Amino acid sequence: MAGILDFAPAIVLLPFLSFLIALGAGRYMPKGGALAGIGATAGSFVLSIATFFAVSGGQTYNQTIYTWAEGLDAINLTFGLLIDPLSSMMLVIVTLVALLVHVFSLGYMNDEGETGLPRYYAGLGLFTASMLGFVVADNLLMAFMFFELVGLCSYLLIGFHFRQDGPPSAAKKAFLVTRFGDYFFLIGVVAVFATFGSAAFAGPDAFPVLAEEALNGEHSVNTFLGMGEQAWFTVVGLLVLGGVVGKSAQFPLHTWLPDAMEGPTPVSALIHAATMVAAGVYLVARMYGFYVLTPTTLAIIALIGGFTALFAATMGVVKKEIKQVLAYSTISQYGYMMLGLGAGGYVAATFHLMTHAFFKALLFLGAGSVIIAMHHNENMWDMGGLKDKMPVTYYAFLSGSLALAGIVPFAGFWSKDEVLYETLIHGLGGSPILLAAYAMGLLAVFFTGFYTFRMVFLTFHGEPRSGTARDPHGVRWNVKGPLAVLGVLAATTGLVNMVPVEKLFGIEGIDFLHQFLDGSFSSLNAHHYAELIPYSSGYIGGEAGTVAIGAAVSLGFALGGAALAHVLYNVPEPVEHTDKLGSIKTVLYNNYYQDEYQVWIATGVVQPISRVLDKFDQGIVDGVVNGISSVSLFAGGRVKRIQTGVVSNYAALLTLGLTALLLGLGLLGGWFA
Amino acid sequence: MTPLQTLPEWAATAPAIVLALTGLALLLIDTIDPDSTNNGLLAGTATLGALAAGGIAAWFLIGGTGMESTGGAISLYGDALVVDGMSLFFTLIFTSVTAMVTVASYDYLADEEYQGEFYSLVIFAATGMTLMGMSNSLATVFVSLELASLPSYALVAFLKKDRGSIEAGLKYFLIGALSSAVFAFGISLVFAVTGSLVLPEVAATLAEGTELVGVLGLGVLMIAGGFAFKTASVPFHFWAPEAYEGAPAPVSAFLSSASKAAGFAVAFRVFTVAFPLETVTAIGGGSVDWSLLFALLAVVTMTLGNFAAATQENVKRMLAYSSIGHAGYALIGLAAITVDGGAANGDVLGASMAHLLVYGFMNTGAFLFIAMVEKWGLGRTFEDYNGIASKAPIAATAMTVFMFSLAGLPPFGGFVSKYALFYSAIESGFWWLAAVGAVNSALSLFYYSRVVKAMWIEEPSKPLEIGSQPVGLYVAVIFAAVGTVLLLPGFQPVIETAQTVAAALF
Repeated sequence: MAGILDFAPAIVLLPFLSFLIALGAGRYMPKGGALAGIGATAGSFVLSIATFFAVSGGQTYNQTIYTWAEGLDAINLTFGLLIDPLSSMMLVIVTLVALLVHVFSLGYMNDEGETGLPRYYAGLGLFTASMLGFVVADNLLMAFMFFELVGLCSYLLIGFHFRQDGPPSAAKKAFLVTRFGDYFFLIGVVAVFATFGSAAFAGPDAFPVLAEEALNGEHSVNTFLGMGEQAWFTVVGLLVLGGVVGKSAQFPLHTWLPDAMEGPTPVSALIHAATMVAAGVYLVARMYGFYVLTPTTLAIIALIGGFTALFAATMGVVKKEIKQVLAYSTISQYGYMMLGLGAGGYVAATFHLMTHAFFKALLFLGAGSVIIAMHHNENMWDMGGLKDKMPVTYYAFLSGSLALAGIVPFAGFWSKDEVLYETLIHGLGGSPILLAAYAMGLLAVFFTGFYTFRMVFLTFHGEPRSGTARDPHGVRWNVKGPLAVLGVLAATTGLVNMVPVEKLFGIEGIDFLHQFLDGSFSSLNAHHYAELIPYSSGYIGGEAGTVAIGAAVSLGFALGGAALAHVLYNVPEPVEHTDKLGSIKTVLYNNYYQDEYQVWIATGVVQPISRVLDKFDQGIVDGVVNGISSVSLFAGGRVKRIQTGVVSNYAALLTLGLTALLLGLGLLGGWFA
Repeated sequence: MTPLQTLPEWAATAPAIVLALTGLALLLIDTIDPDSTNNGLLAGTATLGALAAGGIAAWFLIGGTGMESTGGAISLYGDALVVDGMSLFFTLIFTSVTAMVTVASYDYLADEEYQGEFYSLVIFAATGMTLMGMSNSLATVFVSLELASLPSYALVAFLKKDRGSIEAGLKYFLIGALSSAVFAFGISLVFAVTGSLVLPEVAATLAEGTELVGVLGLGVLMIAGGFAFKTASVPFHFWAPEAYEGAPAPVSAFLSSASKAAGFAVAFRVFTVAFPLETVTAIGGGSVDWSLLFALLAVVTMTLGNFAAATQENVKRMLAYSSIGHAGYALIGLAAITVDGGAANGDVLGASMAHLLVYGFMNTGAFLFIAMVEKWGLGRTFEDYNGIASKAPIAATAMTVFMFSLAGLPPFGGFVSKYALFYSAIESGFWWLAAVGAVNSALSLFYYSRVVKAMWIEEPSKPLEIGSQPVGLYVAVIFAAVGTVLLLPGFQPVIETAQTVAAALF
């Protein structure tokens, strides 16, 4: 069937082409290769939209493109494409955000006279291509390879300003921390291959399907360490989860993300909204059919998510710099997605992934606009009163903030509410762990509302608190355009899945996203996952009642947080209230000493062990090697001495050797009998 | 279409005949014009003859002469000679090495006297080697072995005014005479037990059993000694370092590559055809387990060769020991043969043959590079090689290829041939032999890389002066290097041919 889906590889290849162009010819092109990037991402975006509609019409695509290692009677390693509703939705998100980030970069990088633009646009192109390759990967190994490429690109882009002190160090930290997680992921990939002999996501050999059959006793798989299938699958799931926790900046591997703010702001938008950080959560959604089989893993995912959501939100409360606030909000929001996935809300989490992509890209680009205006001063305490100076940025940013805080009817409300609702009903259905996670998630809503509006009020409201704020630098269409597009999306995308409205008023058929995700391979759709979820549901006052209570409570918390921010900070001359927190303030400023303890682990625990190993390596391993070589040389010297140069000695030795052989073989072979 | 349908049977020995005629032609040229300095005519005739013989051998090999597809081995002259795939395969090795050596000698001998004698001796020795590969009777084995050896003694001593060359030639001759005596005595003992010299008849007689197992064992051991001399294996290796070091470098290349391969060719045939392992390991209440003998010799030979090579200061002498080490690797082909090996026997023997072919290129090339350095008058130690790459980058690159290939590193032919050899040894159950070989290979990397390091990294202690750019030597060295590299992608047909023709022996 030749159709639009046959062009799917082009979606990945176009940005890769722009990478090559920017790298090879960027310095000769106007705008340093930006136009190639814009053209490529625009092309990918158009193709993604077409793909999206084709998938909506019921088409899917699952094909191996290239077998790069053919196992003799073992495993084939392949590259292939899997286009289903989940990946087609993600393609649209990634290409759209990438396109807007490219356009925005014209304003943020080109107009600001940055150097090294070809390198920048090459990085963006490769970053986009890697993420798109990851999204369409049809097997876990290919996903891992592109996952690593994404990590590499984030390293290159976070460290873009490599001549300063901060960025290279932040890039290194991002690389190392995510690598720590990826290490477990890699073992997980090997474990999946060893267990199932296949790492495909879909099709007859899909490992989630094989795992399901194995648990039903229809198919046998290899398990290791003497574990049963259930326990072993849990171990495999947790190994892969290691990569997810690193990439999606979940506790305790979240520490790289705030530092990554050292990268250029458009890069932060790309990292947070559509590529790097989204990759982790997307991976869980991609292989959800596997996770859903192991309740322990799901519970752990939910707990990590809920805890991260709350934990990061509290740290966001005291930050001074606008991008730092956004960084912690990202960690917190990805916590919600993990919570949703762990609580069995596949659709809810995917929904939140989508809405978050739009409003977080918007907020970062808005922050970028503010930063341009403020001559690259990011301290919110130097801002204030920008509302009237830059109205487009203000209204777009406000739209994003309302979405982030979860105020009805902006996008974030619908998706966050659905995540919390799913957690609540499954918690009420007899899973107290989920109730605990729900409580943390709910509390985080309050903090989210608070820090979001604290940021809005400090930045845009009140009186200008510095010279630059009184006379900000203007921004051009290439900044305002992307903001306007995303502002509209942040306000409206929530409408694609208005489950509370459906449940409360009984209007059938407006949960478009849910229906969309249902139409796929039978082993990959939301319906199939819903059947496998190991939770049962419980309600307070019926389904509609629970929906109403849940929505009201979360909206109330969000409004409460926003109101507190209004009281404290929406005044002409806001002052720092953080001193009232006393010692808690210090803890929060230091991010709960997360960095400190991880540094302590590195220097206090790992380093001594490394020293011991180094001793072992230097002393024993090298000693053995050196010993062997000196023994060899010594023996060689002795052998050399046999060669006296006197020919009669040779004749004697020759004869003696022959005699020795004769005696030895003769005795063995019974020649003298 | 096969050659057999159109040619008489005796034509199967065409490679040997062509070589013999070439040798006579060289003598004729030399007789007509004894004082000629027309080196080009002599070298050209010799090279042409070698290439013609090699071309015929390759044509026969592709056409299937003497192989199962055309009715099996061709026996000639009352079974004294046999032409089959293995003899043709080895002929290909001898002739390609001979061609490289004669081309290189064009420059090396430019100022020497008695050039006609030199080329005819080389070609006669090559004739002897070709006949060794075809020998099917212990008598022809002995005669052809002497035909190959006697010119070699003269060749080693060719530089009549060089003390080292004379001394080396004399030592080689003395050890050779002793070995020939041992060998001839061994043949007589086997004849005493079996009453025949023709290899298949010896096997047939032994199959009926004998009481004289001790005599047979001694005879077999002494015959093995004769081959150990030719292949420079322990304990008959003592001549090798001296002869290779003292001889003109092209002669060293010739001896260490072609002559060694000839020793293996005849050893492979004699032991697999005349003394089938399943017969001689259970005979007359005793056992003549030559596979164990060769396993022992292989381990000792490769270890001694590599250890001694590691401590040399003279590059040529280092290569001499390394060539002893490689004899140890090739001996695995006989050592890993088992009574119930079946197809694995043919595989390991074929792998050994394929290794000898690759070795023919890389080792000849390495010695010819030394010939080039001698021609430049740079000296013989590692220090003298310092910085050569800055003056002669192409030749140094070729030498680097030879060194890494000899050490068994990818991406060169030596890697894959050594790999195939060790792999088939493991297949036959001789993993420990492969392990010893692998350890030795690792050690060999040490001294091979010393040459590379000296050429590329070290600074010369005194200003380097490279006089001429010897064309013939360059052609031969580059040809050998290209062959060494191309044998990596082209190894598949080589190993398949070798293993097929080796399997025909069992």
